[in-house]
Amino acid sequence: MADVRIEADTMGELEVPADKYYGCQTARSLINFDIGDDTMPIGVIRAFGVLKQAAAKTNVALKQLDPKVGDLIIAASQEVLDNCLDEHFPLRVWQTGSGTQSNMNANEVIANRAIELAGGVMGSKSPVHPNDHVNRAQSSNDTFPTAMHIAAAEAITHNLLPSVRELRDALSVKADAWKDIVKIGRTHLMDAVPLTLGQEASGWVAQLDADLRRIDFALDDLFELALGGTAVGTGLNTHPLFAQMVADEIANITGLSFCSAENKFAQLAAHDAVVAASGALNTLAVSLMKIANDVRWLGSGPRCGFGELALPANEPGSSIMPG
Amino acid sequence: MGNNVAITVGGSQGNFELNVFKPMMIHNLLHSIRLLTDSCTTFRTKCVEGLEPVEENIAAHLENSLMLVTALNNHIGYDKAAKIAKNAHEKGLTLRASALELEYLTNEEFDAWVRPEEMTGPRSPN
Repeated sequence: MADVRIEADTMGELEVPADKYYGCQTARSLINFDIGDDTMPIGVIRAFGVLKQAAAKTNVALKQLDPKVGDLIIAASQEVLDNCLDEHFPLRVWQTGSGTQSNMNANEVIANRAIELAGGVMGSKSPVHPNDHVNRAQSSNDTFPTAMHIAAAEAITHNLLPSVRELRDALSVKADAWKDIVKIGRTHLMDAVPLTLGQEASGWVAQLDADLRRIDFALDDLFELALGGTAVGTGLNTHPLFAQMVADEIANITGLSFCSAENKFAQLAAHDAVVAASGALNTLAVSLMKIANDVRWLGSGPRCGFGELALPANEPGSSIMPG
Repeated sequence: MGNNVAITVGGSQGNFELNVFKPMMIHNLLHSIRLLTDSCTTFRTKCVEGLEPVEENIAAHLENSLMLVTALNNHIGYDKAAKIAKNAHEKGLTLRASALELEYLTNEEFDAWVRPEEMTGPRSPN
């Protein structure tokens, strides 16, 4: 069969697709964790490219890795962090809870791509070994939490925060434009004393301002990285300078303020930073629901509702009610 | 909000040296980030930027409201103001007509005291 090749790991040999860079451990995960169709988010795959490249650069700098092997890993991981090799990362979210198989997926893909770049035979583990070289000074237990933080911090910084700020600014423009429109207030859904439409909208703006502050605060925790802790947080099998230097390298590659977490035990055993970030997002979702509901109610009608705001007409709305 | 519940449960289940809910937690967090990012953008571009006030409805609701009577608290007291509102509500009168019927104030006083545009912030008594 031309479309498969034989790879081996400590469990024995296994057939893997010839056109994929991943090896045995990824193939085993596909068999053992054939659960659902949620695959690992591409942000996490990119984050693995970032951290594997940073680790290779650091290991070379600390003379823990042959520079020739290092250069091959750096080149291959660049393709991962550019999301060019996403099709070689087929693993499910519903795999081992430490993300070990996704870490091995990254090691196998980067090793085989590096071997290919060197003109070698895929699966030969020479000149680049997935564990000894790509995973040097790392464990799944510190790489996966690091990838989680990189992926979350990048998505929040590059996507979420700009989007929330733009919405906040758009509402602020409305609040200013509506500052002289006096309207009736409503409490308990009952008529209340007046306020201006601008005052009402300024409340929405203030909610989003507070949400942005909470997300920024959560981001500081996400900038702390576990890498260098290895299997249980002690840093076994790493150079004493590895943790600090690899965090600096990750900051360098991403342009974000990543640093090495002071205590690695907490970073492996708990994900309070992720819970806190989720809490900040939860609060944002709550704010958005309040704002959107106000807009919905004020826009109700056109003839039988409040009708105090006119919403843009984007679509027909109903399949049976004409209009 | 649903993702947050799962992340909370996952985050609470670390044992000794390792938490093993990592893939689910990051999957849900990134899912929420994506949904919120896209929601904020579409809410802004498809709704907020195009919102316009319907000033005639806003004015009609304001004029119909009985709660403008609150402005009279500082002049005739809460109890009399409440009677004006209840009387207006029962008989379908405007606040002005109700106040005049009960003879709690004059037409001129009503004009001077019930001014919605002056009810939208704190005001020092004079």
